[in-house]
Parts: sequence; structure tokens; C-alpha cells
Amino acid sequence: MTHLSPDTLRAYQDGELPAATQAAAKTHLTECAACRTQLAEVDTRAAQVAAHLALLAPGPADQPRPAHQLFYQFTRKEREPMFKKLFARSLRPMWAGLAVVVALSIALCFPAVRTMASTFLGFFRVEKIRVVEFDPANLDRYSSYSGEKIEQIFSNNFTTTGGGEAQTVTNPAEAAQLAGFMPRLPTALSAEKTELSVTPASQSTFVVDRAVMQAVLDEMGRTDLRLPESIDGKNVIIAVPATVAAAYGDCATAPAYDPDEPVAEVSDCTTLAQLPSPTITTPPGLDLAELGTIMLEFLGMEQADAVRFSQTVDWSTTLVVPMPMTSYANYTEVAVDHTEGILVNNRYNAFESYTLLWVKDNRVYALMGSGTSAEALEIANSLQ
Amino acid sequence: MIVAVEKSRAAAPPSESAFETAFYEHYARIYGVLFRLVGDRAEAEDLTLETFWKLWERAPRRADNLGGWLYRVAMRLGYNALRAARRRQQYEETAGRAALTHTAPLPPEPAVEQQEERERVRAVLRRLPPRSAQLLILRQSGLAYTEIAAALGVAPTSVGSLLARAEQAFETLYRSLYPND
Repeated sequence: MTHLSPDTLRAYQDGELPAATQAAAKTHLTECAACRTQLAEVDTRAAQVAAHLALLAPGPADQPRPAHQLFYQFTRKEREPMFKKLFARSLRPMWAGLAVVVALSIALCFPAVRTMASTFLGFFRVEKIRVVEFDPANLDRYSSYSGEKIEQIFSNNFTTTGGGEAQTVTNPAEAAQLAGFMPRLPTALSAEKTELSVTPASQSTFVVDRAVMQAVLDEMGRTDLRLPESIDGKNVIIAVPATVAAAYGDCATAPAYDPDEPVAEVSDCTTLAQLPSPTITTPPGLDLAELGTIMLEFLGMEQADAVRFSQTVDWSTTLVVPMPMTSYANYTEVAVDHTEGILVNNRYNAFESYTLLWVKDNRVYALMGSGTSAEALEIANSLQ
Repeated sequence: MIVAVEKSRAAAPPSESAFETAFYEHYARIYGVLFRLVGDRAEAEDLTLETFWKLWERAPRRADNLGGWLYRVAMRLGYNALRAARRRQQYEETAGRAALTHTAPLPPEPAVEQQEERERVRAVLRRLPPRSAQLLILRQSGLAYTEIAAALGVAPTSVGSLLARAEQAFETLYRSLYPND
């Protein structure tokens, strides 16, 4: 038998050669000192590398939670498809990206929350944003509810005019002409690889059918939450001004996931969407605080806490964003652009990405990209 | 309405139980390989769930190589996370992390040195070609050559030579980065 190559010796070392070859190699080694020396070298190197890599192994404190706990968490994620879509790389260039829609999508992704959102969101012009945390597990009690009825409420009672596809423009002046305001752009990002677009303004009208909505709550088991009669038949008009979106870097839609494709670079796309604060008009006399309290209770807050929180919020000027407490996303209140904002960090898809939301001088801004909080703030603070 | 909901439950896809089986069979080792790459329990759990999420959404047509498919997906996610971590580290060093990120509490003193050792090993892995890094991790996690071959999409007979070369590359790179070690 000819001498054994290092490759063969390596497999031999692991006992992974085909049985006959393994036996033959063993025999050869008893007769060949050169190959034994080679084997010792291979062995030593393998052991040294293994020793280094062994440092990475999980220790006693690093063991995962039991399988059934992880599985449960997994099945709960199945009910959070909108979160995943919201943070997916391919959605990041949000051409129709209305800043308010981003915040509301977080709230509206749970069919259960839409009922409440549709009633309370009517009542403000966004001047500030405030986050209220909730435990997604609190919504598990609604999991058997199919949500079809809620979809129906929206398709029957919701009409939109205007809006439509975003229109690409070549420069900020053109954007200003279409949108009706001059966009502020980050000087921290290169103007070379920018794409500007304008989404036309839209107006939506929602007619509240109190009986149907109460029936939905009742069916979901929340007979304790009573919607006030005063909201019935009311027209809620949501006016969303034109939005300017600026995309920087490589924002092409990500291809479908393929485990065999070469390792992709971290996404290089940053988008800034801005629009004058949406306004929502509704007949006066509606108790916003009461509806807001109901929403909070729906999310699982104790009534006493909900009432207390509700009293600290000016519901007519504040966009309250329900933020689910998950292991893959967290938020911080940050100082940005000489005001206060919300920074959401997300690591759901193993890339660190952020959404930074703030309101300045009655304009709502949403900055989305991949990278750290520091990068996000640097970009946001460079707006001019 | 309630009745309609129960009916739709009964019509759930038959692969649900197959998925559950795959989950319980593979999750611990998938977690193990991911932990080795990212070094953080919470992140490794998230990536583990992410891996199975992809199985749920886009199961491979051939169910016979489920393990291989799972490892391939896990290594893709884990390796990307490993490289993303480097960028995060760089920016955190320059920008200062204090109020901007959720910082884990500092580990006690003796553990810091061990942590640094681990980071050195990860630094080397990051600089290796993806397949080599993944190969080393999978082998260290206890996978047999056939399993490694399935995960990396190579012939089982080539694993030995790929491993030998990956170990050589690791050793050379480690020595050049940390000559005093």
C-alpha cells in the first residue's frame, strides 16, 4: 500500500474511512514509521484546533431552555407573522412607507388589536410618540379567534381615496413640488446612491359599527370590555399627507431564501420616510381616554394600571405604540433631532436592524436600516 | 363562528406532527452549533427558532435530508450573525454603548479572560472562508462525516480532506493573529 495522505489520515483519525480502507490503513501504520509520524502530526494539529474550538461549547450556564418551552415559543411566533414581515429585509425600502403606518403596523399586526386601534387612533394629530410595553403572551387568550370577522369590518366600513404608487423623482426640489414640503435629508449618508420617491396623499373614512365590534370583543371572551355607545355610526376620517421616501445604498428587493446561496453581505439599505403629521378628525364628544383605557386592558393591562396610564397621556396628540416584549426586539427612548424619539432594535433575522421613529415640528420621521443604534442616531441627527 | 374556527383546526396540515418530531429531534444540537458561533444564549435560542421557522415556512421538498437542511440553514444564519457581531463591536467601541444599547451585566473578573479567549477563536473563525468555519464548528459539535457532508452539501468522502485543510488554515491564521498565545 502506498503511503497515506494527510487527508486520509485525518479521516482515519476520526474512524470515518470505509471499513475495509480503515482496516487496511491500520495495518499499514503498523509497518510504516513515516506514516505514523504523519499521523501524529495530524493528530496534534486536530487536537490543538479542537481545544480552541472547545472553548466555544456551551457551558452549564449556557444550556438552552427545555425543548417544550422553546417549541411553545416557536408556535407563538407562528401567530406573529406580521412582525416578521415588518422587519424582513425585503420590506425595508418601504416606498409606501408612511411613518405612522410603521408604528401602527406594530399595533395592528394582531387582529385583536385592530378593533381597538380603529377606535382610538382616530383622535389625534401626531405630535409625539409614546410606547407602552405588553407581553405578547397576553394575546394568547385570543388565539382561537380567526379574525375573519374583523377583516370584514374593515373591508365593509373603510374607504380610501388618493394614495397609490410612489413616484420616483430625481431631486429634492422635485420631491418638494409633488409632496408640498421640502424634505430634510441626512448629510451623513452619501447623496450619490439615493433614490427619492413621493407617495401621494390619501384620505380614508371609517364608519364605526359599534354593535359588530362589541360582538367581536364578546366572542373573543372580553365581555368585560364595553365599547361606549357614543362611538356608533361615527365617521373617522384619516388624512395622510404625501410622504417622501429616500433610499440609500443597495435597496433591491431581497431574493427568496435559499440555503445554498453564498453567504450574503449584511444589507446596505437605509430608508428615511417623512410626512407631515397625519390628522384624524372625528365628531367631538368622544372620550378618548376611555377608549385608550379599553385598548390597554385588551392588551392585558390591569384596569387600575390602564386607567392610571391613560390619565398620563394626551390621547389627542400622542401616538401610543404598543410594543410587544420579545427577545428579538427591544426599544429605547432616545434623544434625536433635538427632540425625543423611539428606537426599536431588532435581531429577528440575525441581522441587527433598527427603526427610529420621531416627530419634529409636526412632521413624522421613520428611519430604517441595518446597523447599530449609534449609526441610526448619527444619521438621524444629520438631517438638514 | 366558534364552530367555524374548530373546523379549520381539524383541517390543519398533516406535516405539523412531522415538524414537531423534527423540532424535538434536532433542536438541541442546532442550538449547540449556533451557540458556538454567537456565544450568547438568548441569541442562540433566537437563531434556533429562526432556523425552525424557515423549516416551517419553506420545508425542503425532500424530507429525507431534513437534518442536513436544518444544519445548512443554521450555519448560514449563525455565520452571518458571527460576522454582523464584528461590525457591532467596531461601532460600539467608537460610539460608546452606554445609553444606546441594552448592555448585559459585566461578567466577573476570572470569566473575562476566558471570554477574551473565546473571542479570539471567533475572530479567527470570522476570517476563514465560510465553509471552513462551518466545517470546524460542525465537527466540534460532534457531527459525523455523513452528517457534515449533508449539512455542507459536499461528498462524504471529501470531508476528511476538507477538515484537514480547514484545521491547517485555522492554525496558521491563529498563529499569525496571536503569536504570543
